[in-house]
Amino acid sequence: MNRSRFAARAPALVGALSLVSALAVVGCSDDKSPFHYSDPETGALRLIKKSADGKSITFDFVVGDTALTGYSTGFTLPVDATRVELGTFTPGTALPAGTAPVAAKATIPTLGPLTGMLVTAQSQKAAGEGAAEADAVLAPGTVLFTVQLTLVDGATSGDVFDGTAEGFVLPSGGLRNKLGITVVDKGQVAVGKLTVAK
Amino acid sequence: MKIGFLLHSVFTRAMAVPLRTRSGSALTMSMIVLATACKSTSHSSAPPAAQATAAHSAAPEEREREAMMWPRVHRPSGAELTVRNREAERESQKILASQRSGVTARAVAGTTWVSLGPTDAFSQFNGGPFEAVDSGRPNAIVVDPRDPNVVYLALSGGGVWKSFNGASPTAPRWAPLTDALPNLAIGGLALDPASPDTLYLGTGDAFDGAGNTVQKTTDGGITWLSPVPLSGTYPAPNGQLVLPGSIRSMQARANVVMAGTDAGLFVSTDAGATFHLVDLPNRNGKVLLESIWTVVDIGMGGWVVSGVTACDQASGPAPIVNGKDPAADCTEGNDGMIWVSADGASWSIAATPSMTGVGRISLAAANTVDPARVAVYGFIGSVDNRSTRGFWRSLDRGRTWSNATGTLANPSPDCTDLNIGNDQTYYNQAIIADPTNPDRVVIGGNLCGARTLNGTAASPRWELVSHWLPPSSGAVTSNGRLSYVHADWHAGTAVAINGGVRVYVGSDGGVFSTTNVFAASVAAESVTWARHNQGLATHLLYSVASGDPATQNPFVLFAGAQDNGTRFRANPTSPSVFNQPIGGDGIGATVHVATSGTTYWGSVQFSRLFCRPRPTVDCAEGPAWTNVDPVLGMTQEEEVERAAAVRAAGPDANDSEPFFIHYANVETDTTGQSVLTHSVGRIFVSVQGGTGALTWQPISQDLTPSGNGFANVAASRTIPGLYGAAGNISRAPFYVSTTGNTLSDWVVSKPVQPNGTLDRMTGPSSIDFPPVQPPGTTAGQVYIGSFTGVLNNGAPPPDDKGRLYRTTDRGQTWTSIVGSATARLPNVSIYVAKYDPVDPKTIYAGTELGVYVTTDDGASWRRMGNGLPVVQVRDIYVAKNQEFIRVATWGRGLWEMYPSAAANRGASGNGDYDRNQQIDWIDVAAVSSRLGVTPAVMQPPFYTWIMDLAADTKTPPTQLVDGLDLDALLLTFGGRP
Repeated sequence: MNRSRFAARAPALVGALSLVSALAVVGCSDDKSPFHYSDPETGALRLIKKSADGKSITFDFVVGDTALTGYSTGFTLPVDATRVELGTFTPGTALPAGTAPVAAKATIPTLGPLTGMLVTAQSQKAAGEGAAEADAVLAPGTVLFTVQLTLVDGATSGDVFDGTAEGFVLPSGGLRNKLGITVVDKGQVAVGKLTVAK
Repeated sequence: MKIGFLLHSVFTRAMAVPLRTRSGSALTMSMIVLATACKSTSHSSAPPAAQATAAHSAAPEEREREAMMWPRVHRPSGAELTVRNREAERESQKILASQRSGVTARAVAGTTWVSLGPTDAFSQFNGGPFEAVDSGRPNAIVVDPRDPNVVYLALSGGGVWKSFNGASPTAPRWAPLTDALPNLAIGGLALDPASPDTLYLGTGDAFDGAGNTVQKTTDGGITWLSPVPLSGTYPAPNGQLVLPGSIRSMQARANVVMAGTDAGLFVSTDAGATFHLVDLPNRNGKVLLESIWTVVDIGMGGWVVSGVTACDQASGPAPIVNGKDPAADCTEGNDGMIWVSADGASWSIAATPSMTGVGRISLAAANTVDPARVAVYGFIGSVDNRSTRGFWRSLDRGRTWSNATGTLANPSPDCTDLNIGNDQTYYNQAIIADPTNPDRVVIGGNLCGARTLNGTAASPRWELVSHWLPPSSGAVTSNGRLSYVHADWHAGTAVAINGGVRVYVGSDGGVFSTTNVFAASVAAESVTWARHNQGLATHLLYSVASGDPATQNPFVLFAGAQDNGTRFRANPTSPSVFNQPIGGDGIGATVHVATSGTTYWGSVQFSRLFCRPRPTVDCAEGPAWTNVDPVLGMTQEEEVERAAAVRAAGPDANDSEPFFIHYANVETDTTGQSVLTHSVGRIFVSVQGGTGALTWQPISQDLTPSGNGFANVAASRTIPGLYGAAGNISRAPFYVSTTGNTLSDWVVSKPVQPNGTLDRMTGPSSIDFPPVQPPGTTAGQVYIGSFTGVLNNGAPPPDDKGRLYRTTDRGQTWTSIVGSATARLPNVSIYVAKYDPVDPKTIYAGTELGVYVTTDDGASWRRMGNGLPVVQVRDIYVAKNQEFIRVATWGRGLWEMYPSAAANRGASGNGDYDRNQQIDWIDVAAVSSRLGVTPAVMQPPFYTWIMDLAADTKTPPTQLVDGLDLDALLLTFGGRP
């Protein structure tokens, strides 16, 4: 895969590339961590491992190789909730979510249509505390938000999610500008494979 | 239509005597004729040949008289329905594509429509106060078998709604699923129990909103497949090609989908992809059209269907009311029949009791948890559907039936026997059976509901369990007072929940449920009913009356509703709450503001009321309203009886009070109390006497000596003394006066003939005058007229002519103003067309599909703004200074486009911006990017009421998306809206 060529096409190819499953590099694990995660190498937006320890793994949701301009982001990712639960969620500063209220949230619902999914969102605010009027320019590698998953007590070994699987596409995800126009489609949000190996 | 209404002014008297003693019987007579309109106009399902025959065999005046009667909506022919479907689907696609479009120049400079409700009521009054919150008329209620909280409603004009907490006894949250679909008149809705996210809706209300299409969803209503139109040909020797005008009942199981229509039974065996007409067997080997009322799935592949047959092999579908026994002109009789199938493919006539004169039959299956032992019940109407004949029962899966009428154990003055459907049996029939028990059934009709707990007994014992107006003496049985369920039952279902059964009922007042109606330990009078109508802005509105920024009262807003009375916006702090100060069928409504005082006018069928607001008079409450003397100087009851007598006798020159009361505010009268109204024949104006009393004075000759009545009245907003009226006949559609309140002969227009001199447009609906007199013309020379109907030969008007015309020579000649091919007004019914009050080149049209506007004098038209459903718009009010436009819709309540930061808050949105029934990052994005946005913001992202979840902190609350809305949204993040 020619990374630069893919990245160059990515912003304009909304929905064209469903290979979210970006090529996995080598699965890696920090010492003593049960989590094994393969960062995606492609994708306009990517879920990248930030750190891991014996109890949790932390991801950055980052901009890929091409700069983007947008206002709001997020994704919905099916996870094996018998193995992980939501830890911390830290909004990034690139799309400032303001305060009172903070326009950012993550959850793994236990009821409803999104049960067992990691549901995330972050947006700038058009008014109120910490408002930002315009779309933000997001350089490659910009961290949009950080989300942590923690190991469920008694979790068994196995996959938590697998964005590298054939045909995998997130149920929802991407980047939108202030007008609500899609900048990055869910097909361009790349997620790797997370495994628990104890 | 609630005919058994309680006349506002006679409540006390009525309480002392049986409520329906005089008014009820008189109304019965009138409604027979009213309903005759259904009969003749239900030619919609007849084949072209049959339609042509009908058109030529009936005198035009006879057919056109139907327009003044209920149901008022024109029932399209097959050809017209095809045009309507085409236009509606095109407009539906536009809506889906334009939800984020930019602003376009127009007189009212807004971008987005806001739903104003009604979402609730602080009080309801119908002769006296009673505890209730009502909404519009459901035709079907279905519940997801996996989750009793997931409830769907199919509404006669408001589309399909869904709740995820529908079992909540207090306040389920509802959301519309189908606002962008081409037709919101839903007659049937089926959920496939084998795949509960798969549902099929059938369009076309049986009484007042036509349709012949089925739409399918496989994701619980998030997305819908394209409409599938139903049509079919009966086999020889019948040979009639039929297009249904309404789909009355739907059922689905796996690949089999059944649609019971007014033109026959249609069946799909490929999960709704295609449907074919099934010719059900008839007696004597004849091939008759069947009008189907109910389809029931009895499990194990079996089905039971009820319907009414046509008169003979050459006849179109049976009429809804006034069906006939075998006679010279109805050789086979309009027999009510039951058919049964063990496999959904082959059908036979069920063996029914030897009861003659049977009409509409409604069915329900009990004990469906054990299909081998299912019990099927039938609610039996008389052949003319003016009474209930009783109830039938089958214990052998529909093959043979016995009489299960039994006895009524606890009669009340309003419901003395088991004639539960009363004189409206054609209209209000509902039967609901316990899925877990073969003995338990609930029935509902006109004024009361009843249950039996021993339905399989030789003579079941029925007990009343609800009443339409509990404060009245009519609700009292020997054992106590019945609880409230709004009159006129239409639909229902029963679901097993937690070891019990919840029974849902849909009536003219919306949705009600009970969990103890089948409890033998609960006395019938102690059965409790919950209402589920808060948040259901589904009212069927005839009119809108509005205050105006120019008169410093823009908050004032009220509307006349079909059997939901007059709905009056109650309180600025809760601006989507509308009380019901007047009950019954609220119809006309208007506001007059003058130095002599402000007067609000409301109505009930045949009757007019007013309220004059003062600091001590709250017009949101019933006691503030006063009956005004009828225009013809008779008492209200005399008018009712006279109207019935006149109609029963046929056309003559005797004037009478109309069922449909219309008003026109005379805005140019800034000192007096001029408001126009009409009898069946003449136009009247209200005049304030020296004592302050309001009386009516005739100002026209008898304009409709054949008794055709009026569709509307109008007064120029800028030119004093210029009045008009739309009649109900094609030969003389419009009437104009330039002499104001002086009695004079009005000028009668010539017909509108789009194709030259051959055919005439039928169904005049409104008339209006330009706000500025065109140069070189005099008052009354130029005006516009709209139509709901078709040509008098039954054909739709040509697309390039449509249903809106202008005259510049006092109605002598007419020119279509529907625009060019690329920017044309849809060729559908236009209920009202109004000039902008300032710009003479701007006209607003309330159509079958929403609001359209021209800003170039009719040269081009566009759909106005974003967010308004594809719904019938019956009335329009534009603020005098163009600040806002408010509209009354048939099934989706009141809407406004008010580009002001001060606009009063509307209905609460649920935050589901992309309508995918879950709250996720797209919804957070949509609300966050709109923070601070009001309807005054003229650049995207625009205000949308869907993202305005919570009231802001302003007093009164406004249309503003703010942090409270984001807070509210985040509370549901990751869950259901």
